[in-house]
Amino acid sequence: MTDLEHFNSVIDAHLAGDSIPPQTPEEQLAADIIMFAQGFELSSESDAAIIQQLKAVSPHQRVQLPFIANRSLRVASVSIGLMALMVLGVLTVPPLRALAQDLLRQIGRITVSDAPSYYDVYSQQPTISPNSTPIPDITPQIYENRLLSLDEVSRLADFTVYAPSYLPARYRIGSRDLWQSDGLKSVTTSYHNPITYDGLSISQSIYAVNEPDQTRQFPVGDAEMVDVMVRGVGGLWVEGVTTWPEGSTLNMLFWQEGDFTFMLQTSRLSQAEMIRIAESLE
Amino acid sequence: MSGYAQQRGFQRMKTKDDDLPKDPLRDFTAIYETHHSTIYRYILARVGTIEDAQDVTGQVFLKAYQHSESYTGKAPMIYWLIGIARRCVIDHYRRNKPNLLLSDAIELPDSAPSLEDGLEQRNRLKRVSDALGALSEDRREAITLRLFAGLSNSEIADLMGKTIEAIAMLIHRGIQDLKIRLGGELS
Repeated sequence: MTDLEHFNSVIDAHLAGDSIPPQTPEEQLAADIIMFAQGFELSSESDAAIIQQLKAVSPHQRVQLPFIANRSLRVASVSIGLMALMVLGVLTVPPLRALAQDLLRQIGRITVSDAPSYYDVYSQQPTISPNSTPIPDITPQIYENRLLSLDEVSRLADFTVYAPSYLPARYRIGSRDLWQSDGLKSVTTSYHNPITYDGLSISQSIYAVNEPDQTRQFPVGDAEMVDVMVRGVGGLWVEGVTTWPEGSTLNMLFWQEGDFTFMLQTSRLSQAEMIRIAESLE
Repeated sequence: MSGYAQQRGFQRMKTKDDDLPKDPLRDFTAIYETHHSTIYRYILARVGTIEDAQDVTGQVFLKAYQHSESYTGKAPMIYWLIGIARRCVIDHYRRNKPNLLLSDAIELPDSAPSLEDGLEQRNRLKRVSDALGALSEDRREAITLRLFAGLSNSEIADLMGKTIEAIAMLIHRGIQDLKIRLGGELS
């Protein structure tokens, strides 16, 4: 047997799980690399995410993936619903209290009500009293947010912006930017899972004390509202808010902490997972 | 045959493919189960980080599923999947411009379960991947397919359009290069 043949037989043996003692440094290194490579397996989370995505695409949909074919647009689409709600929430809106039935929750200057969600209002044109305030003509857009560093966005916002020390597996940062309007400064950081295209956003907002009328309203329609404890204070978990694109829903977590109002939004994560993320903010 | 090869199924790959339904893509999850480790480790050696390798692996199987009509069944399925993986790795490098600030990269939480425990493993992976990246393209590809993906010299010869002897030589010489670059890194 030549040296090269022996070298290959050592590799074959190690790949097969058998043991032929390496006789040269090259054989030893090849065996070491094989052992090293064998130490890597897809994590169970990744495995599950990939299988879930494959199963979600039935054979007749193979060429037409869910929502949008282009990857960057699909990632962006995750944030459409998140951003649309965030932006709409700071606008002067119709008197939602008038539309709400009876469920109203106040979190800082945010009012969460069971009035029809923005998606329901703008996409389905629900029946509204002729006397109600006209609904502004707003179309959700894909906002090109910057990805600022934590230091930079904190400097621009003039407050310390929190970041999570925990994120679910595979979630990655997509943007972090400052949103300002009269009497409001809000920093929103968005994350997404590049395999499942699920999204997560964390908003930290502060309102000017000299503009007490500046409020935000979040009508959530039939979504379920649950009082929860977050970081030692009372918060509100809202599950199943309809949003863009069609057929999508969001889960939201609100709480007030000192001068800041926090709002976390997710396209998929559970209440327990969102609270875990919230608890890790620092 | 036992152990690693059986777990990986690469030596029996043709048999396994033969065992699949006549329409080999009818149950794509079975195909995924058969081949995902091979594809993942191949990509891992090429991209050098666990997270990127996981992402690219997912993209490979989604693309494979989307374009399943392009698999003719004339060659083992792993050849087709490796071809897709190669293109996805190239796309990965084209797409990933260094647009994250270092502070963001440090601050970004990494929730992989074994991050702390596997830190040294990650560092080694990066060094091995960098060392592979410094080899000639043929040597790098042959070593990656052989030692990471676990393919046989015969399969690699088919994939690279070379003789089995040429592949054996590429791998041996590539290992000699790696020995110089890595020293006792993996010992």
